[in-house]
Amino acid sequence: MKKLRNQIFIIAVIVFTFVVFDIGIYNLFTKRCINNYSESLKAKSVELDEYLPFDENSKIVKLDTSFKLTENLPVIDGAAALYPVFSAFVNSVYPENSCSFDGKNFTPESALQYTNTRGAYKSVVDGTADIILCASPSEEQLAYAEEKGVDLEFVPIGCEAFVFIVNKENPVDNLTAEQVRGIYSGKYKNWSEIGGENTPIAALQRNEGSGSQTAMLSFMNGEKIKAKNTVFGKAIGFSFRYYVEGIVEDGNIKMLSLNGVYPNAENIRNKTYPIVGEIYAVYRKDNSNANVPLLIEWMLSEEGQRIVEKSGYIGIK
Amino acid sequence: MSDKLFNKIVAVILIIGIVSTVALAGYTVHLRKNASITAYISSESK
Repeated sequence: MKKLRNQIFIIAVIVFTFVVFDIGIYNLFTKRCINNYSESLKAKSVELDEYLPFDENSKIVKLDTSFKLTENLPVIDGAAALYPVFSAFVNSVYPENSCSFDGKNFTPESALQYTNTRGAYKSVVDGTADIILCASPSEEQLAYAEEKGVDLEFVPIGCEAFVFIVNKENPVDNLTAEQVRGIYSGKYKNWSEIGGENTPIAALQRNEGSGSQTAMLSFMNGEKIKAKNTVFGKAIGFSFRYYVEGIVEDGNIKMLSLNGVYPNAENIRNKTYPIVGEIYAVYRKDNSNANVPLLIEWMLSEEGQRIVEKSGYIGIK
Repeated sequence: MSDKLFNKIVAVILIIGIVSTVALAGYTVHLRKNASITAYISSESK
């Protein structure tokens, strides 16, 4: 009887150990990695159906403009963070039957497309998109254009801040640019070294070719990113201001001041925020569609710039 | 319970335990690789 009791006890201890261990892994690591955003935000980085043109419930800026296109409509594509802007352009200038959305994606014949930065640069080089709205291209994207013998024209149509983000409960509110470079170059590994809690820094990165990863590489100014993408400690990441504030709108995230300057509209406009980049309308120099330069000229007009500003970006003029 | 049966039960529990732990770890790595920056930072305080 005593032997049986011991055997049952041993079995119970083994089961208990596994259960506790797995629950620990789940609570410490797995739960943190579960993406609770909507399926559309997970798959596309933006809720496409919330910013559709010609939809009365759309969140895009609706402006009755004097400039209209009816034929030879340039196909527009671009980055996730700029989707509300180019969707608003289409809404204002294109005829209503120019776009079709099947509930998940724009159909191939639609004049509005969305393939995000990487897809958009490929599309404009390949000629499947006429104009794309994106941040600066990565070296790979420029190399792809060169390889295909394509010259791209970059027309700045607005400004945007590149921002660093942490969880709202992180006590750090401000970092210097050198501290951020220090984090990503591996010099600082613990938040306590830069005024935070005694916990490791998880320096997050995006995939190669995304607009924000390209901006991050540019910010590093040639310094190699060596920081480990650890699952321990508290994280820091980066994005564009409007993507954080306007599209994701997650109350658990806060943007950091950089060199003591917060990335608000005023500080972007007067360029006191240290990393203000331009957003571009990009097209092939050999594009023969006469409406391409007309549309870009309109984007730079008072009407086009009003859409840029009302969408949450800073106009170029 | 005979020693033979006990050893079998322990072996089965160990196998199930190790397999489930490895699967959970693999699932976590998969989620981590595909996590968006904003979602990952947001879930830090959830």
